[in-house]
Parts: sequence; structure tokens; C-alpha cells
Amino acid sequence: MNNIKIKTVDLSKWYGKIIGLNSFNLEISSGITGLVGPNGSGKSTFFKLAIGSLKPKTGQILVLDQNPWMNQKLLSNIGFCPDYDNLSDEATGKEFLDLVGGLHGLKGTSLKTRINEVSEIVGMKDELYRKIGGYSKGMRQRIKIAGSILHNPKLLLLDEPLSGADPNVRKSLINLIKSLNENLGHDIIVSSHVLYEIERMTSKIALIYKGRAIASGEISDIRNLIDEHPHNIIIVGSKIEELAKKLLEKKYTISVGFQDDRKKIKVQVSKPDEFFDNITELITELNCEIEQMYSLDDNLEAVFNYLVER
Amino acid sequence: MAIDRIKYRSWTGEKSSHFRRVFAIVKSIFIQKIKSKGILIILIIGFFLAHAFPIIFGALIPHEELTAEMMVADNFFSYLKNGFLVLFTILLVSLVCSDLISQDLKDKSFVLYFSRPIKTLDYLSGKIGGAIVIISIFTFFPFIIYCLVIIGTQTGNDYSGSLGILGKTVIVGILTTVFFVLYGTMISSFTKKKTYAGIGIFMSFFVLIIIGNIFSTFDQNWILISPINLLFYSYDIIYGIEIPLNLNLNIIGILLSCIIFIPFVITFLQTYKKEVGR
Amino acid sequence: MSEITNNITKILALIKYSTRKILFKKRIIIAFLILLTVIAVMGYAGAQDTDRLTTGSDLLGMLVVWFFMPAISMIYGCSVIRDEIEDKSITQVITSPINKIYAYLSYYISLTICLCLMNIVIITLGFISFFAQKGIDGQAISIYTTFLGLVILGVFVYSSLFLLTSVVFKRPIYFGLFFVFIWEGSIGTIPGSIQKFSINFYLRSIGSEQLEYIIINQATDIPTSLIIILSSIVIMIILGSIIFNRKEFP
Repeated sequence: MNNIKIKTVDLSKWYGKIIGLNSFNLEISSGITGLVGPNGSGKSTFFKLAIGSLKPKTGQILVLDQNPWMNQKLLSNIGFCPDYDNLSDEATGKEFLDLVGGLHGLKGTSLKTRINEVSEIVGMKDELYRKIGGYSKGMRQRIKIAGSILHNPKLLLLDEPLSGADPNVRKSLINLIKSLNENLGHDIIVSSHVLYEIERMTSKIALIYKGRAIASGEISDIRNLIDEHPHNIIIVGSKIEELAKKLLEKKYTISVGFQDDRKKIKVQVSKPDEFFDNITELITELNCEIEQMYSLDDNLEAVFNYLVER
Repeated sequence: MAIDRIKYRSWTGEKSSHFRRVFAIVKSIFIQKIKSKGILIILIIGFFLAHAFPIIFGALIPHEELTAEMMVADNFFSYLKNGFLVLFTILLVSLVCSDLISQDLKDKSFVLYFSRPIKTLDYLSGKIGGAIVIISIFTFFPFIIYCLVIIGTQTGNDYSGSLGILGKTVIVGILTTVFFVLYGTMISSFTKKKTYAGIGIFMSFFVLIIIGNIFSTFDQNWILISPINLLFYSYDIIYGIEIPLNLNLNIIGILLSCIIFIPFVITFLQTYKKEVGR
Repeated sequence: MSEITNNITKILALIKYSTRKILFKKRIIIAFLILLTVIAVMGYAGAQDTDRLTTGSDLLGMLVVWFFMPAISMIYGCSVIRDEIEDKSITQVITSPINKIYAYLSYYISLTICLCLMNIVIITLGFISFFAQKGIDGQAISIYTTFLGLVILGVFVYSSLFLLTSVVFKRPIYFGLFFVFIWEGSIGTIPGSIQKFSINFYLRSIGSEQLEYIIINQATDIPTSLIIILSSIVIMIILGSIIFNRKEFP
């Protein structure tokens, strides 16, 4: 139990008719854990329940073995970086960190020293005295992360820290997040709707979809699920009938069906890797002219749909 | 290869269906406002308190014809000078006009408008037009209905006098509507926050009323600083009712022109800055 | 002991932040406009041939105590917490280990400090612009101190009310407008029992005992008025802090 940072048991939260979380069961242990799900899946609701700004309707959530609702003391051990912009444009970065530090009981020289430390860590030391209104997106994310680690919390909750950032900024933020865990020992839960971004930070993820935790574990296990579940591929072109006949002979083909007209087929395969290895050979052999070929399932939504249907 | 000069000639044709562009803005404002619960509540409650009771009582009380005194008498039975009408008009204008320009300032929607063949005047015509349509539901049409009901239930046979009063009431209705809408739109053009615009409209009326009342103890003409008193005396002039002798007619005329034209000019200048990208 | 020091540090940090936000935002223009209006009106009135004490106290009462002070308390009181909830900057406060009840009290303290400051400046400069032309003597000072006291008391009670409404309602400003302009301004001055449900009545009662220039029907005596006002402040602060403590922030 010591290793479990957050535990939820049948946790549910709804806002009128909208369900945020639905019998959500999850255990998150130490290290970096990625919370992955499409937009509207309940990631932010989960974080808000974890920091006690929302009260569960049913079920239970324990953060560091404590109930976070109306438990302000627990927040001295949690750092939260929200996905929305909660910064005041008129304040400077220094003023923002002064406020955050003050609210955590830091003052005087210890606050000043700590602000210098964290601004160094996030790479914002030279920008502290500029107004937040003049910060770029990446700088705003950094200062928010600085605010969340200022009081040296045990657990960091980062809600979509990479959203809206350009590729260079994403790279530097990913490195920062990794170093916060590797070098400074923070346990981190980071959310995103993009699997490959999380992959670069951690191998442990939890998949969340329509308010439910549908899978958790190592990324390699999740990846295998994508590869193991039947793939649907669309092929558009000429001499498609011959291609369809040939595909039906293959062991990896589950089904072939014609769409709309005879120029388009939907192929369902059990082993997409083998399919893609062989298809070019088949096309060359039959002298087909392929206009389009794309997979319907090579995305997170398809994995979720697959997992939900199981 | 030499650079080809771009042969630019400004277009001198006529914009087609230009009125439809302005109408589109009017229509969108009207639909947006009429769907608002707050505005509907004010309209309904205000209509009952400010219009329904006077209309019903006016119809029931025997009367020979529609007279100017019935419209603007300085007593409880006056239709146009009653407190509920003033209060609900100010409330309605605060709700309707507060986000007319301020919302576009906040959302930076001027780019959307001025990237079309729309000028500042077209934009303002649409916005003010839409607000006028909504406000006139309270400050124009009920006035006409009142007059028609009184005329329809009069016992006398002289309809020409009554129709004359009806004609003057049309002018009064237009004046009232335009008076409030232009002022409200001007306040809305000063801020991005519609709440502050609403407060500003509401408070400024009250502040001017209080200052007018205070200063009028020193000189009666100061009462005209209050927009409500200015409007009431304008009604008296339109209906041919005698106004206090120590009030200067010229001041009334000047102030009335100012309160109609100056807000429009200020709003135009504020909006024109956005058209030219400042 | 260290926990107490810790809590005081947190409270002071929030008071400092909130005070700076109130005083240094563009909205301060409203207070400046009110100041200019009061100075202009009272300065003009001071130049007229009128009874010094009656007119002076009428103006201070009508302009500042019964109108601008409640209005400015409404504008700021309804927006201090509500604006932070709307723009999500309240996240810093609700995700920090400061007890939410202390956080609410911090907002209240910063609000009253700023409003007292603004109103003291307004009433002082208004007083000077009128009485400097007419002569400042003991009676004038008595009027000034009475109205100053009423303004400060009024700030405390109106702040507690509007801060409460800002955590209860999504659009507290509409309640504020109704309360200040319709309830306090009109219904609260109707003779009879109904006026006892307005804050205005108790402030006037205190003022009428101090100054012969304020005439109010069926005034309540000073101790009763003070008890009612002070208990209202305490009740509203307690209620507001409980609601804020239990409030969800989606």
C-alpha cells in the first residue's frame, strides 16, 4: 500500500446529465504514470477529485492514503499543474511564485532561495521579472510547473502539460518531466490524449475512456493489444476484385467486403504487420492501381473501442 | 524576366445585397436577445407593471378622448412618467446593450466583421438596429397599444385630437428608444466586460439623477442633467404641455441633441479604431 | 506555534496578493471617477450660498454614505472571488494547503482594507472641497467624523454581504444591483417595518443619533443598531466561509 499513490474504488462523478467518471477503479504507484484518454474521457475530472476541488458522488478516492475532499493539509504534499490557463497576465512570474510560495507557508529567504532553485530547474530564471502576459505558451507551462514544484511535493499531477506547445517546447517539457522524477524523486501523474508523447516519458500508463479506467499497465502490453485486435483497412483502386480474391486466401485475413462501389474494399485482418508486409507484393503481382489505402484502427480511439467492446 | 506590374484598379461597382448584410447583424442581435431568459423576464414583468395596468385602467376609466395629460401628467396616473417604466427601461437597456460592442471587443470579432465589405457605419447600424428592435418592444409598441386602446374605448366622437396625440406618441416612442439605445451602446464600447458595461449603464443613470436633484436646489436648469428628467421635459414639449418657466428651452434642445449625437459619435470613433486595425 | 506562524504567513500572502489585485487593476478607474464626481459636486455646492452644515451633511450622506459607498462595495465585493473563479486563478488558492475558511477571511480583510481606503479618500476630499469654502470648525469636523464612521461601518457590512453573494451566486452583480439600487435605495426607505430589513436603516439610525441633520422615522437606538450590524457582519462572514469551504470548483 505504501507504494500506491492514488487509489480509487468505484469512483463516480457527474455534473447533471454529464458523466465525468463512472465507477472508476485505478491504482497508481510511484514513478511516472501516464493517464491517456481522448478529450472528454475524464482525465481532468480525475485530477480535480484527486486535489479535492470536486467531491465524489459515489465511491472513494485516496491520495497518499488520505481522502482529499476538504483536506487542505494534504495539498502540501501535492503539486498540481492544470490544463487550463490560471495565470494572471498582469503579474510577473516572480509575483506568481511569491503567491504560490506564500500560500504554502514559505517566506523570506527560504522562499527567495526556493524560487531561484525552481526557476533554474524549469529554465525560467531570466524571465521571472517579465509580465506573464508576455510569456509564450511554453514559458507559461514552465512557470505553472515551477509553481507546482515550489513546495517540493511528493506527488505531482500534471494535466496535459504539453497541449498547445510546439515540437521543440514539447521535447524540452518531456525532458523536464523525466528529470523531475529521475533526478528530484517526484512521483508524477501526467495526462495526455496522445499515446506516443506519454511513451517518451514513461512505460506505465492507464487508459481512460468515457469516465472509466479500461486498462492499465506497461505500454508494451497496450501496444500488443492494438496489434492483436482485428484491423480494418480500406483499399481503393482498380482490379480490386482480384486483390480481394487473393486476400481471402491469406491466413491473416478475417473478412473482405466491398464498399459502395466495386472500387473499394474493407479488409479485416488479424495480423496487420503481416498484411502490410505482403500487400505490396500482391499489388505488384496483380498489377493493381491503388489510389488509397488506410487503416481505420491505427489510433487510440480504435483501441478504446476495442477494449470497451471486450 | 522583368517583374509584371500588378494592374490594380479600385472596384467602382455597387455592392449587391448590401442591406442584407446589415439585416443579418440586426437579425442575429434580435434572435440572441429574445432567447435570453433575463431579458424575457424583464420584458414580461416590466410589461405587466409598466404597461398592462395603465392600459387596463385607462380602458376601464371613462374618458372622452386621448389627451396629453393622460400621457404625461405629473401625477400617479401618468402613463409615460411612471417609475416602473423608467426602472424597467433602464434594466432592459443594461441587459440588452451591455454586450453589444463589449462582447466583440472581448472576442476580437471585429476581424470577422471588417474582413467583409462592411464599414463601421454598417456594423453600428446592424448592432444599434437590433437593439432598437428589442427595446422598442418595451418603449414603442406598448405606447402605441395604449393609445389605440384609449382611442378605442373613448366615449367622445372627436377622434382627430386623439389621433394627433397618437402621432406625437409615435415621436415620443422613437425618441425614448433611440435615447436609451445610443447611450447604452456608447457605454458598451468602453469596456470588454459586459458586466461592467451593464453596471456602468445602470449606475450612470442613477448618478446623473442624484447630481441633477442636488444641483437643482441651486439652479432649476441643473435638473436637466438627469437624463430621465430631460426626457420627461422633452415629452412635455412634444405634447405641448407647459414646462416650468425657469427652465431654458435652448438648454433642453442642446442637451437632447448632445445625448443623442454624442454617444453615437463616440461609439463610431471607438468602433472605427477597430476597423482600421488599432 | 509553528503551525500558527505558518497559517499567518499563508493568510498574509493571500491578503497581499488580493489587495494588490484590487488596487492595481484597471477597475480602479471607477473609484477615481467617483472621487472626481464627489469633489466636483461638493465643490460646486460649496461655492453656492447655502446652509453650511445642513447642505454639507446632506451631500455627504446622499452622495457617499447612501449611494457611492454601497455601490463601490457592490462592484468590488461581487467580483473579488467571483472573478477569480471565472478566470480560474483561484486554482492557486484551492490547491494550496491554506484552510479555505482562512482564505475566505483573507479575501474579506483585503476587500475591507481597499474599500475603506477608497471611501476614506473620497469622503475626506469631498468634505474638504465643500467645507474648505465654508469654513471648517468643530461642527464640521463632527459631521466628518460621524460620516467617516458610518462609511467604515458600512464598508464592513456591505463587504460581508457582497462577498457572501459572490460565493453563492454565479452572477452576483445582478443581486448587487437589485440590492443597492432597488432594495436599499427605495424599499429600504419606506416607513414601517420593512425598512428594518435594510442595512441603510441601521446606518441612518446611528447617524440620526449623532447628527440632527439626518431625520429618520422610527429610528432604532445606537446600541441596537450596532448589535444588529455587527451580528450581521459576523453571520455573513461565517456563512460565506462555510459555503466557500464546501464549494466545488469544476
